[in-house]
Amino acid sequence: MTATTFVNVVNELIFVAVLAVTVARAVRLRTAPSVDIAIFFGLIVLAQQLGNLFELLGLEDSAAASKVGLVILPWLSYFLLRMADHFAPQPRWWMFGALVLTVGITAIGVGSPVPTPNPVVVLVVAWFVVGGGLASLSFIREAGQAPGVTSRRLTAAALGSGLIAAGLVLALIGILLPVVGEWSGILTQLLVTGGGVAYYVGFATPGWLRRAWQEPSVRTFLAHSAELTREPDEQAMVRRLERLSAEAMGVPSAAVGLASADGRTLRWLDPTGETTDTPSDRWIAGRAFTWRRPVFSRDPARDDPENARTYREGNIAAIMAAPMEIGGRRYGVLLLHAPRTPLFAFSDLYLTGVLAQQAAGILESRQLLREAAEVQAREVAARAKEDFLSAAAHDLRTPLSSMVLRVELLKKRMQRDGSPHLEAVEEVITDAGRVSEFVSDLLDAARAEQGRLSTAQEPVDLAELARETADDLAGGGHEVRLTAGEALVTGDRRRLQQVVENLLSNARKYSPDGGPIDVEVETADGAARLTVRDRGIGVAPDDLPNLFQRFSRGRNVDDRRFSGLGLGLYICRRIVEEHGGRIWADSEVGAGTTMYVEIPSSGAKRGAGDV
Amino acid sequence: MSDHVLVVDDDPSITAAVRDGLEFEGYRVTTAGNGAEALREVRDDPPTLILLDMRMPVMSGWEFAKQYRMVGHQAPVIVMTAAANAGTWAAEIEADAVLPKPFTLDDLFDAVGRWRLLPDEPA
Repeated sequence: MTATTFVNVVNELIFVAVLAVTVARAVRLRTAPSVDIAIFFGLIVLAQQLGNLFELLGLEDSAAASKVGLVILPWLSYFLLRMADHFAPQPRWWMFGALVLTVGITAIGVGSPVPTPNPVVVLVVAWFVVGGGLASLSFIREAGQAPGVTSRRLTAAALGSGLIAAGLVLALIGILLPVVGEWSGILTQLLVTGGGVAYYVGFATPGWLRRAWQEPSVRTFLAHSAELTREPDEQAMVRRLERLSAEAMGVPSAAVGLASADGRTLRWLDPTGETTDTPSDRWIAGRAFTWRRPVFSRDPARDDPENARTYREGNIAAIMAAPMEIGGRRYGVLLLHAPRTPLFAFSDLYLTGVLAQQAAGILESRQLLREAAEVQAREVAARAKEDFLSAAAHDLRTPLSSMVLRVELLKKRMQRDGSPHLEAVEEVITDAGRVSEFVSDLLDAARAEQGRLSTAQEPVDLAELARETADDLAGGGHEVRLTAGEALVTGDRRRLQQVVENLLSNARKYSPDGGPIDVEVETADGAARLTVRDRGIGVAPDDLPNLFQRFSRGRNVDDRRFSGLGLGLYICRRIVEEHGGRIWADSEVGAGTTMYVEIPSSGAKRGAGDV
Repeated sequence: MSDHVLVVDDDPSITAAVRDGLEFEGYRVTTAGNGAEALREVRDDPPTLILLDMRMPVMSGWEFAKQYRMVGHQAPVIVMTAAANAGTWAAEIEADAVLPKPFTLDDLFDAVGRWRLLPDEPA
């Protein structure tokens, strides 16, 4: 076997294999580009196998064989141009002209005598070189503009065209100058083989190669996605995300549709900076969003007839869309569209899904960062308010306490001297006492925020507290009915007393008609329970849930009649909670309110079985 | 010997008000604006009871209490503070009682009255 035959055999095997793959692909995809690719390789294999074919058919007509070869060559050129057209659209007149030229040259080839005169051979080869060269040029031009994997595919296609054209020029030289015959034969074969492989790689890129070619852009995508979370401008972030996705997938453009809060619309950023909303269940993108999986349309106009015109006018020949979703939270759709169908391969769908998920991760991180910043800002504001209140209260308290002391002293002196103005001083004392109460409520609220209201840990009997408080509050027109069994807890006596006092004085305050107040203290199920029931104005059902919140006041509470900041019950709740207990209320407007406090019992008098 | 109360607080309006109140009740009262001043007062004119604020400039209640005890003085100390953890602080300096701020005149009289020397008690 000579070197020439060996190269020949290898060359032929490669082309047959490539033909098999492209035919299988054409059958599977049935798109114009895949069919054209299969025809192209079919023609090459046919040209190569003409001699064998004739032999097989028992025809020993080498002249006829070479004539058929001559006829095939112009069509190779034509199909090469068609393929160029699929990737980089050619002008219509030019495609039509190429068809006319091809038919014409075919006719000349068929009509020429045998053996074929050299001018005809030169014409055929020249057409091939021109057609292939032009196709090659448009591949190169397109490769320069296309991103990522597409650029490489087009470069491979251009290389293929160049190699085959060079091979044919060499063959022509071999025919015209027989001196170089043997070597030009081998070289031609090598060039054509290389061209075929390059074509195959460019037009029917195998998946593993696509992956490898996509990898650098995917890596760029991942490398930049981290910083996208910190991009302050959302529009700029969306644009960069779109560009990175397009590059990673090797398509000219990508679009990010952000889902609205209710998930009913997708918002797209137009090139002008305006936004467009689309219903989230329409268009191909809407399908990806609704079905919650990546969607690939090789023919959007056919798959979504409702919007066929827009797809055609927008020069959108293929779409890949994937939901941007992470952990069940849906952020929108990543849409990749291409003006040419073959830019996508079905296997890209998985990558699109991964990119979309990554994009969702970016959006989620941004959202979390933003939320964290908002929470922080709110906290800072709240702290500033609290700091102010607590500072103000602090500064008010000292002059207030000396003022109270002085007025009380004044009262004592007046009592001793029998002054007639005693009543006026008593009013001042009452008012001063109320201001002091506000101030200490504000301070307590500030302490409650930090959870350090109750400091002592001592045995306290709630029943005793209730008795003392009820005695203190006796008189004032309210009957306080106390039922008290022992209720021992461990905690801060002064604070627990504050709770009891607050509940009882509230009961009195909000029972302007002087109804009886029932106070019950008992120990049950390991908990000390205090119940204070009044027959006062009650709390509206809407206000009940907020009763123990800061600055909450009932809407049926007339500010002029009942003074207060709305801090008392909040402070009570915090004190009770600091003791591991809970506080709650039942109420009916006009019928009265029942407040319940439950604190884990310290269990001094529990049965042995409970210990 | 009559009852002599030393009032230690960095706020002069408080010391003045407390002094006036206690004097009205028949106590002899001296005042100090911080721990250092209080130590001088204790040395020059030992009181029978001390009302002590804790957070003060120059010398705090803690430092005062330490030095006061070191010299062997025995008069009871009542901690007078607005802090939430008044009880803890009082325990830290082994004070005899706590008078949380704000207090009324009657609170003051109660707290101080508990340590009043009985007229027949030998001084």
